[in-house]
Amino acid sequence: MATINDATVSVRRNTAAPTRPVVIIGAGIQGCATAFFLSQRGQSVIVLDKDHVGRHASGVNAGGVRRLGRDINEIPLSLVAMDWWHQINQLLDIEDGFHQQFYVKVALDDAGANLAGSRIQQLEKAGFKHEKWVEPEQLHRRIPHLTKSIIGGVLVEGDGWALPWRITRAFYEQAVKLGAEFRTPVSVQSVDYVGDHWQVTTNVGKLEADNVVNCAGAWGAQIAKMVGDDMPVEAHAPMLVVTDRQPLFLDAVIGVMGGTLSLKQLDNGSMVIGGGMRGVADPDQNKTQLTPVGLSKFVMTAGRVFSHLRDVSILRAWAGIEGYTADNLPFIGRGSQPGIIHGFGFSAHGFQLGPGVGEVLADLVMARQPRVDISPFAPQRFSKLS
Amino acid sequence: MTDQHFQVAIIGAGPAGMAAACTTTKAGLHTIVIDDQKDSGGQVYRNLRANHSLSPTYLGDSYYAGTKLSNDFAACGANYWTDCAVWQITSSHEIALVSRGEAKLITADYIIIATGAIERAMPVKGWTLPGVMSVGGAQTLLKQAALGADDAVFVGSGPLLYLTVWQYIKAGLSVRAVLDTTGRSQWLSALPFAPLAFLQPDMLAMGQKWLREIRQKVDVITNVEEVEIAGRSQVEGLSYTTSSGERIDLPAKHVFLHQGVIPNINLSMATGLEHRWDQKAHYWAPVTDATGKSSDEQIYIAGDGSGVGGAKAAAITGQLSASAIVARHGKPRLMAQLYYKLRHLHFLSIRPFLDRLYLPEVQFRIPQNDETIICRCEAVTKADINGALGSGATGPNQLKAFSRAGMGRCQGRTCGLMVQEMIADHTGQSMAAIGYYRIRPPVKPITLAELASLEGAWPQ
Repeated sequence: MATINDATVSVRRNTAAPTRPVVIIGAGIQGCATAFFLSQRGQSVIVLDKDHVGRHASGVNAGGVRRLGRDINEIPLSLVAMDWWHQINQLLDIEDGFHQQFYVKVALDDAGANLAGSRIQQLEKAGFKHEKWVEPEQLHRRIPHLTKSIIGGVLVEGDGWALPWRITRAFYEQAVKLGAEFRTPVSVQSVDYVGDHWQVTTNVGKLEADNVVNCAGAWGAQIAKMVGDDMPVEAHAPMLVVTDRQPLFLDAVIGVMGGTLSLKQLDNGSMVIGGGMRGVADPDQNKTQLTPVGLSKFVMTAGRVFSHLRDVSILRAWAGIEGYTADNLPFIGRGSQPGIIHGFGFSAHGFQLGPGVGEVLADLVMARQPRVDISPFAPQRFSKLS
Repeated sequence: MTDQHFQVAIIGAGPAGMAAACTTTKAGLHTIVIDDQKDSGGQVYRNLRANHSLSPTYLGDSYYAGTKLSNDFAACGANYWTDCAVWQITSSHEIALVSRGEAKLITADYIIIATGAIERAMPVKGWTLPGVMSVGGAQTLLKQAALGADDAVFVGSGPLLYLTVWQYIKAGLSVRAVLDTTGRSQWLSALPFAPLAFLQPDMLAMGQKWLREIRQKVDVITNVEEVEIAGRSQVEGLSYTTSSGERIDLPAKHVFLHQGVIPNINLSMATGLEHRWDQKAHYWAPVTDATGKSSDEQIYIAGDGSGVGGAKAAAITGQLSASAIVARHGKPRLMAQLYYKLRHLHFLSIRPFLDRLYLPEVQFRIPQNDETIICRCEAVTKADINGALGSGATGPNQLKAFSRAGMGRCQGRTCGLMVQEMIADHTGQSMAAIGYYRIRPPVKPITLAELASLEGAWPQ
């Protein structure tokens, strides 16, 4: 790492005018991954966050690392991200960063099976073959505790899970090692174009930048507004529970076709159960509230898949604040003014995308063509309609 | 989704909850009392009505002083749900509870949280060894099951320590020693408040009586400065250092620790109510007005949960909160309120003295040894916490993610203040500025099937 740093320094010394650092707003997984890739490519980076690294959705999400079930428009980006996940240990200098297993959405009834069938057909038409139908006998062989009544499922080999806080933190730590600077807690008050560059005004002073990257998650719309972009997101608080430790019985992540569930077992035996049921988010106060009935809904779905878990105790429940767009696809791309780049609104499925998004946003900052088509995520897609 | 609605819901059937229920039912308010125990009384009057038939004298007058209140409560006509735990209160005042395998939602116009106090952890070396128990736990066994252990060593400070030792010797159990960790500096800071304490002569006299009778049978060693409990897989003995610097070893199979109680704030915190750091008493307490009204207009906190005052003060605060709620139903009881307020002040007169005398010294609040465990649930040691602080954790919630401290079953009840103080020491910030763990529902254990029962029966 030291050699990269040294190289960076010497490159900068050779430049006549010192370049202004890239300012990234938001130290979640997207902001940290972007800072990492930019630093790796020798860019100087300052990351601002109104709280601290991984404070919200990035630190407390369910940790699913899946290609399964994604919007067709999102699959190419998800596949690029997956390449990074497969080398995440080397990339971030960690151990066991990615628990590669398989991810299956089981069909509990005919409606679920029909959904699965049409989904697979649709993907095949688009040229994607990673999602496969799996017969119940085979599923029961691989997951013996699965309830007898399931009638099959859609499965992706090699999907799995990771500990979200740990990965976000690792991107942060490596970015710092490569020279990125993180300033927290610092809140951005305005972003203004002055002469030939951007001025970012914070509660502790001003910063100059040629490029500003908006990775502010549920608060991304506020930042976008500061630079004249109307990019609505709604803040919601997807809820999760974690259980007492149980004997290890599961080496897959389980979802339900047409239902809300994600269930995995961690190394210590605890199960993390989530699946998008929303609590109440209060982004202005940094607060979330859990709704008892909502919790009971996805826990009941867990029971439909694994009835043997009936007497397992819940240790904790929580929710993170996440930004959702109207079509549940993220905003990734250039803003209406030069030098502004957006990457937020991941609508509760941005964790796996993180490394891919970091690469793409770094490309945009450096005026390179990203490896994948990001036009479906165009920041202007809603304002164009109106 | 709500099963039932009440005018007043009281959570906890200790002295505060019982007294509150007597007051609200007398005023004709539709009241429910929810308690996670099998019978009323809370910790202080635990199992009183069952014990009363046998009346073992070793439990003492201060225990039987709860008889009238317990009887009044039993006759007051409030709905009373036992074995029923509240695991969440939502901002719309839905109370989520679980009882006998089933979850349920009820609503109430007013809620009184009367969930009492918990013991402050005493993390001396070896405090997590089998054979070590809190004094409160030892007393619970005595009250609930008439169980005790011979030759135990009692370590720490505070009234409950001496009361329990007294009950032990009266029950005919032998006590090896009492090691009192109250230091000279605590005596010095408490003494100016002694005159106020004399407004409670019966309390002081009771303490004197316990001490006199204990000293006749048990070695009471005061000014103990260090304590280490030794043993491989269970307690084998302990060693302590006296104020003269002498180090003494003592064989022991049972060690009971206690250094005061602190408000049980998990429910009030999880409900999102405002809390304040009480620097003198060294604990968090909900912000309330004189009637116990919290930062949420509809929620009151009564009893030790709003600040430790003891059983008698708890009952008065229960009456205070209840009569404030009655007044908001258009039945002002100004004279009663004034009377309760004065009585409350009277009972609190001894607190400045006790709070200062029994605030543990720092070597008993934070482990002195790197290998000593801080978070029991996740087996996180002092060294682990220091490691997390070195890696840049700046607050209790970040520290959770770094070290897993506070992420286990007890939801940080045991380690919360230790972790907070270690962060304060490390960063140089005040305890109030550091803050506390974000406490989340469920604040009481609930199984998956119990939670799912809000939706229906668990699949077979």
